[in-house]
Amino acid sequence: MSVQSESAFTEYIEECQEMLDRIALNIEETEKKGFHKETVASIYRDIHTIKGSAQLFGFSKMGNIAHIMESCLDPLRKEKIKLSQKLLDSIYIGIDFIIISLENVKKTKKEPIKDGQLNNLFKKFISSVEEIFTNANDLTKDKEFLSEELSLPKNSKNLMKEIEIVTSEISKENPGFGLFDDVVKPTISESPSIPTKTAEVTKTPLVSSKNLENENKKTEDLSNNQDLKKSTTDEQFNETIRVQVGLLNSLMNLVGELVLIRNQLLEHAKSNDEDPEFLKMSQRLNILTAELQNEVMKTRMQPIGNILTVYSRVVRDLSRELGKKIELQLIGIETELDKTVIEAVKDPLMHIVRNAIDHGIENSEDRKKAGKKETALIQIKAYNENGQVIIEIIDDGRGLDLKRISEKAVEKAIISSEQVSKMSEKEIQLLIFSPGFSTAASISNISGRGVGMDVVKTNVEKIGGVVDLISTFGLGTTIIIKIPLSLAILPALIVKSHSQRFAIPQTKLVELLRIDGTENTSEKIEPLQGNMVFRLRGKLIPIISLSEALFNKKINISFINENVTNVVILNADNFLFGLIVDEIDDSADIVVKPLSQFLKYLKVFSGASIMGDGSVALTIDVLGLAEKAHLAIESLDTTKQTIIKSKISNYYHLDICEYLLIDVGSPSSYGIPLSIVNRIEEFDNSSFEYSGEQKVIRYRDSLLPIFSLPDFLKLTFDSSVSLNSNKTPIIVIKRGELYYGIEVLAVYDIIEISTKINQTVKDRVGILGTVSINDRIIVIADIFGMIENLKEKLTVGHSNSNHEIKQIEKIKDVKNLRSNHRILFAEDSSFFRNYIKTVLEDSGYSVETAYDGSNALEILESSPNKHFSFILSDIEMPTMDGLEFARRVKEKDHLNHIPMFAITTKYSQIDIEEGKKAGFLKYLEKLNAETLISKIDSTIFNSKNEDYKNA
Amino acid sequence: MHEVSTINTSNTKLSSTHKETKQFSTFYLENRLYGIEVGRVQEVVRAMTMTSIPLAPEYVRGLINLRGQVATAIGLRQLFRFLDSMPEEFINIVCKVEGMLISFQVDEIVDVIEVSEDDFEQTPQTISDDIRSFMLGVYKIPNSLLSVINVDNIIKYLNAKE
Repeated sequence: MSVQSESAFTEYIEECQEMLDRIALNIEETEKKGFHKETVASIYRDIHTIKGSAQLFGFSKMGNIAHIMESCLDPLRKEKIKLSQKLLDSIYIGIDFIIISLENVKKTKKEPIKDGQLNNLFKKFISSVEEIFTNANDLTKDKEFLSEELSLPKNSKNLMKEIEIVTSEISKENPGFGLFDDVVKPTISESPSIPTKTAEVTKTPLVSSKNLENENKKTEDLSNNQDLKKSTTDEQFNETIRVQVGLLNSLMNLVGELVLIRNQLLEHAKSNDEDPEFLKMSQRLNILTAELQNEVMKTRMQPIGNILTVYSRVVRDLSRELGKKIELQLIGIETELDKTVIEAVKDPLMHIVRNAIDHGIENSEDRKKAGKKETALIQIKAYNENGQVIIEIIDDGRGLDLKRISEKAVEKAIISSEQVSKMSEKEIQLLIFSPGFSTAASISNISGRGVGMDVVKTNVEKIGGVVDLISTFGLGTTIIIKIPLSLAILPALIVKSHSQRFAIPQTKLVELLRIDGTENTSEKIEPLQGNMVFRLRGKLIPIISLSEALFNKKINISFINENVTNVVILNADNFLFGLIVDEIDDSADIVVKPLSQFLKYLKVFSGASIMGDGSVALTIDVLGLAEKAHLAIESLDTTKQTIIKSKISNYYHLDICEYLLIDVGSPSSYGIPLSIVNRIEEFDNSSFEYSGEQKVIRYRDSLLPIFSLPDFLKLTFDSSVSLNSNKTPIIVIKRGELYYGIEVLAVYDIIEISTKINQTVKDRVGILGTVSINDRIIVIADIFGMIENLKEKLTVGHSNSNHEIKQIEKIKDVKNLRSNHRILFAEDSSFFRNYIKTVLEDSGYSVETAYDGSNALEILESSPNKHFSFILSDIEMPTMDGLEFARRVKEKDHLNHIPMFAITTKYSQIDIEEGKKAGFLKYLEKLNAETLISKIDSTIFNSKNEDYKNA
Repeated sequence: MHEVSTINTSNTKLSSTHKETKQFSTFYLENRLYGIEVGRVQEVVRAMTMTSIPLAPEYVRGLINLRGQVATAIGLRQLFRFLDSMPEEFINIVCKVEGMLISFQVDEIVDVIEVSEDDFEQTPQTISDDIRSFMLGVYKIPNSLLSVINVDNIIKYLNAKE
């Protein structure tokens, strides 16, 4: 225990000194050059950290002063007051106080109690701070004044009140945690000025010094035991040498440069490989450099346990103060990290733990009410993965309250209420990382000043890491910090795209694939709805092209099918995707340098590095690239993992449909299901001709009849789009073997909707129904219905199916009859699947759907009790098409009696014959609901006529 | 400070036009003379192999390797929209701004010129606002006008364009 405390203490001292130096520099600069936002923010952050660690060790005077300094700086940081000499002076005095205190603490390991110099400084500080608040009147031009006696402006009154409350809280706090022989005598009594003044202002009683003394006596007993253990520490240190971190840093830098030269040498050796001696030497140099690099890295590696063990005391300390029962579990403390990484991650971790204790964990009552164990659990887990170190802080507290977060975010003007309403759960949760955010109702000196999580994120990202969180309201929160093992040198794969070299960090690299498009295997790159996918050992992975993402050079699917393609499989936060590159070069160790500030928004690049030959190559940010290619992120609640859904998988199994939004001269939006759209064209008005009264146009060696949708609908609204332009948009539909052109006023956009078509309100032919999205409805046009209707007007003769329908409809309870029958419907397009299912169900049948042939077979096989009376299947389906499916069904004895219809857009004579051979009784056309039902009826009921008559 | 002021006052008795002077590293862009304050310029280098950055704006020409450091090259011609008759080669004027190494690409480098504050004038209103923000002002020199580049504003502009 005490070994740790010894080293923890030394670290504290060193860190404080470092920060004090930095503050001193920054203050000087501010004094010389005036207010600079970043400098002041840096001073603020350092003081915040000094305050925290001082309190941790029980140095309350230092903590006090730091807290007051923080309060003084806060309005300056937020640019609410102007910089004044007085403010600077107070900061200087405060810093002096802390420096001197620190000196004493270093020697004696406790805060000096009766140091005259310090006391004077303290008094000076307090009075100087008061003056600021008095003068703040002039600076802030605050109109509200306090009572005339004190003439202190209102905002300063609040500050003073705050300080008073806080200082009394600090003194009630358990001074230290028994680490040292430290007994903090009541400091309040030694600083008369503030409390007395505030007592006048706020009329609250002073903290009684007697209470303090009682508490201090208790801790004294504890700390005495610790003293004995300290003496044994000295012996263990003989095996080690203390080395300045700066020295190790320069060592790392030199090794870094050596690595670069080594790379250059190797490149040179590759091209000049005639001299065997030279090759031998360069090879030897290569091995030595790699070893040297490894060893130097090791010198800076420290087990993360060093900083983690301090946390058990933090938890004990804070939990006692807040009256909560918390248990801390540390897992993986032997995980090693580079020293600079540990330094950088220390503060963020502290913040997160404190936040968890302060905000996350509920008090005992609330926990009991929620049915949780009274003792809360906080776990800190550290482990290695994929060349990164992952640190998880898991608590079983109350989780993130989305409502409060949204409210606070809007309140602090971080985001508008409109934007919030459109955000996903995860996005709202991530708002806590915004600068200036804090949902703490009051500012405690633990957390709540709005500095915490933002600082965490900045610090972690500075060292190339990421912060993520998973939280369930009511259950708890997990914060995940991922940091790269090595900051400087990164192993990377060099690839080429468009003759330019790019580096991909190996930690994100999963696999390299060489796909020969000419081979006939099932593992091919296939197009799917305009995107590319690849079947990697059965799993479907989206593929994007690097040249397309960077240079907008689209890849031709036929090109892929005729050539060899190089694909790099990458891991973007547990989501796999493939990247097509022109060439794969070599792997190399590179030193990544960040891009200039104004280029940071290019999320696809994480930096630039200098290659062996002196040229610069950009490093790809794998997550950024995935985002750019629109592979969105969402987390599932069931498994605590982030799973990324891509557009492509949505198409496959979920009910998301694309519609083409058009203008038909109505105030509502109209849509045409994209799956029936063959092409969208625009023709000159002059190119339209007439055959009789039918408008036509010459299109691809034949005549395209043009049906105008606005005219057909005969809507009585005034057209908002004037037909002044010379061109008319035509949507080309293919129906069976024939093409039709649908004339509209304008084509707007393509939209994705996952809701079903509501068929309750349609007042005329030409409308299928409506779908509703967010704030409006979209009317879906029944194109095939319209074509059918218009064709009837043109040609003579009706189909006989109408007659049949009337026949059967006359039978009473026809719906009831149908409900006894179950239909299996296989169709890959979710729109049609939806639509036909709705139509069939509306008519009374019960329907089960499948998304491809094999899925349909599964359904048939898996539930032999479920008797299917009918099978309806599409032909064009992935995995197993309709024909194969039909053949399979016919093979099975217990299934081959079920009548099968094909419902498809492909029905040329040849298709129909092939289909009938496979086992389909009839071929039907999609989107012709009436015939569908009548034909199904006639098949089912006519064949069961005898049964029906007898029933 | 006290001494300097006495010197100044004595000078003003001699010549009323002796004020402070500034030194600028000057260069040509489309045959017009521009300058950057000498204190801001780290070095001047010839054109070197540049790696272009896909998806970056037009005026970000690419990255160059400057003795182990990566510098970002900004095309001043593109920023000022002098887009016709681009020369074959450029000269790079490297400045260190806000911790980044920025290399401004210009047509031709000229001498370091010293000018007097007396000859300073505001940039004329005839120049469009956005380009005017890139300049601090104009100095009158024999036979020509020297427009001075406002490096900070350029950086601000680059940062804002996100």
